[in-house]
Amino acid sequence: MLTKSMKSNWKRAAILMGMAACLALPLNAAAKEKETEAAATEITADAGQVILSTDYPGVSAKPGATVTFPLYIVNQTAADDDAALEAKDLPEGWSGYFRGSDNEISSVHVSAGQEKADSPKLSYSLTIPEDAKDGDYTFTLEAAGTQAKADTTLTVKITSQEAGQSDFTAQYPEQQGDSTTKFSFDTTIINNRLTLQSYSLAANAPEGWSVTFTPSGESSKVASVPVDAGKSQGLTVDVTPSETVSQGDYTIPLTATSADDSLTLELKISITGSYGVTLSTSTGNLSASAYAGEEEKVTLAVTNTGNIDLENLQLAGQGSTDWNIRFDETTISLLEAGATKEITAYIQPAENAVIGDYVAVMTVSNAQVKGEADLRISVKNHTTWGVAAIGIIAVVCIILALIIRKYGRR
Amino acid sequence: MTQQSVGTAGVKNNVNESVSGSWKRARRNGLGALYRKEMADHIKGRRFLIILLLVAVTTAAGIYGAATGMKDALEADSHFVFLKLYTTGGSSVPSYVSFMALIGPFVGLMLGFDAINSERSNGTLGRLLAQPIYRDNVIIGKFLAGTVLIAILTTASSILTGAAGFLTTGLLPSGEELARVFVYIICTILYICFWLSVAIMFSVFCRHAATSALASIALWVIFAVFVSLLAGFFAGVIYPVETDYQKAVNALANYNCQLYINRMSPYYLYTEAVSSILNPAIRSVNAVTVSQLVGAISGYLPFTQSLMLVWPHLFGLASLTMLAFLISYVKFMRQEIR
Repeated sequence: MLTKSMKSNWKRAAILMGMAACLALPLNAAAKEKETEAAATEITADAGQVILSTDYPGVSAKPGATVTFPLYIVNQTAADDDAALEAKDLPEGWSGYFRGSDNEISSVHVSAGQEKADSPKLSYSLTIPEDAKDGDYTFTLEAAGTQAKADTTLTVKITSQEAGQSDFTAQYPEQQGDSTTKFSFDTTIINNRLTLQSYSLAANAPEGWSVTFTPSGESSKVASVPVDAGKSQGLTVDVTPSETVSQGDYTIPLTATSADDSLTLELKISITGSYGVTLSTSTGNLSASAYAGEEEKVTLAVTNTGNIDLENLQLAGQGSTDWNIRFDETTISLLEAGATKEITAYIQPAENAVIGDYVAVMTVSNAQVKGEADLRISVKNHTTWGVAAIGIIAVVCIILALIIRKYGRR
Repeated sequence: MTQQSVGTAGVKNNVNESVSGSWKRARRNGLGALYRKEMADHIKGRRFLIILLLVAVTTAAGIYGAATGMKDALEADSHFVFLKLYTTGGSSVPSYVSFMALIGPFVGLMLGFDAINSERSNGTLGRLLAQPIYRDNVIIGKFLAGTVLIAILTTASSILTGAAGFLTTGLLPSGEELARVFVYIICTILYICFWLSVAIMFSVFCRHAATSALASIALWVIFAVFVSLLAGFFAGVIYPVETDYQKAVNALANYNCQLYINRMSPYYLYTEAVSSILNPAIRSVNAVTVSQLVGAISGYLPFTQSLMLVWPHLFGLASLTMLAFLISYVKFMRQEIR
């Protein structure tokens, strides 16, 4: 602590210096003078006291908790002293004690001119009973020296919910995309506790969805994340909807649970509709053979690959000239998302179709979508006529031979 | 001819041996002996050397043609490589198949043009028929011996070509390729047999061997060359395609008319059948309209479907062969032998 005489000397010296400097740098000097004056005024006002203080005189706590108040003791008087410590007006059932260098203490020594930075490590540990009701409680800590006395009034707010709650937030908690989108949410866990918390992470997603947590700047997926007291941790939450997800809004509650905290965050995902239809055969084999002029059955499979039900799907087939392609059902009135329906197509090549391969294009379409399949149709001729011809030749040969044998001999 | 006399003596011995045997056995022996005699005559004759030389040269030329043209053909399409040995020709040498279509008939003609009339002019026919054998067995035996010889020559020549293919390309044929080559060999045998039966027919009708030889060759020239010219001419008369209008109206009919006239020629029938069976990419032997080809994909026909394309050709060739043989048979049976 500075004495008055020292201070006035300093002031004078400062003024002198200021005047000297003024000759060279008048502006700078004026600013310096003002600063010095302000510091002097403050110090003067606080002079001659012992002050007991703490950083946060009002705290919130839960019933049953132990709250520790770090204390600082400042002596502005010119004399050393011992100050007895005491807690006054403690509410009924509450208890507490003073601590200093790992011991319970009852008094503290204050040196002359001791400032806050020189204060011995001192704290008051307050234990709140389990049955404490919600509300504000006030009590006083007193340090009584022989010459000077200091006290500080502390307020403890009891809430079942602890103030300075940790937090779990997302930058954009609502996102939109189609069924193939991989959603990514940037979230943050803020630990407002006084101790390191290890949060285990969980998500309650619909069946078939996958939710993964990746700390910012990391590549490994984690199931829990430690967060230092008073720090925050960025967390990327990747959400992949199931392949068969249908259109609609989905809410995914995330929880981050630690020993003291249970944090929740709701992510909202809006899945937009996607249309899709594919046409194939039931076996996946896109080739078939048919006889010219005769109907051939081919079982087609129409699959709704989108996530919206399709209505009024029309089937059509295009072969070569004079080909006739019909279906047992020309219209599918409703095909649910992800569903497959089998349709029998009757393909009749033209009478005069050349034997060999043709392409027949099958289409299924409605107002929104179109699916197409190219079938390779091998047109054939019946082998029966060929076999018959060989038979005829053989029969004629035999008959001729018999006739010759019987009547032709001389 | 000394050989024929030797043969006839053999027949005499055989027949004498089987006098005590059953009638059935005598008949079989008669035909068998005649067949063996004819085979021996052919193989020992100097004419056979000429035939052998002809076939050898044809085969060699076909192999040379395939060897020179194979590279370009493979670049165009590398499927059914083995079949390309038969159908590929070089820039100056035709393919094996077209060689056989042209030269094959000569083999048949040379084996049959003097079958009956030389026996007659030598006077051996009467002596032959004095033996207790049926008269028809003489002509059947001659035809049978010629057919077997043709089959042996054709098969040997085709196998030689294939083997040369193994040697040069190192590729083994697939089962389907073998089947197609087999059908090709059957076609060729049938085709050459037709010419054999035509030659035998002329030898029955003509008294002199030279006449029947000339007549056979004339028929060959007509079928190989003139039918196609005549087809164009007649089609042009029936369905003229002089003006643009006529072209628009008659083009298809004109083409079909030409096609049908051409198909009266066994040469054309054989060529069409063989090229379809050896080229699986051929899908139709008839005129194809554009509307029939909408949506068609180029591909290869399965073996059975290729056979379906050519069975009428085989049927036609077989019928022609049988017809020529029947005519010669009937004529021979009714002829007076002096």
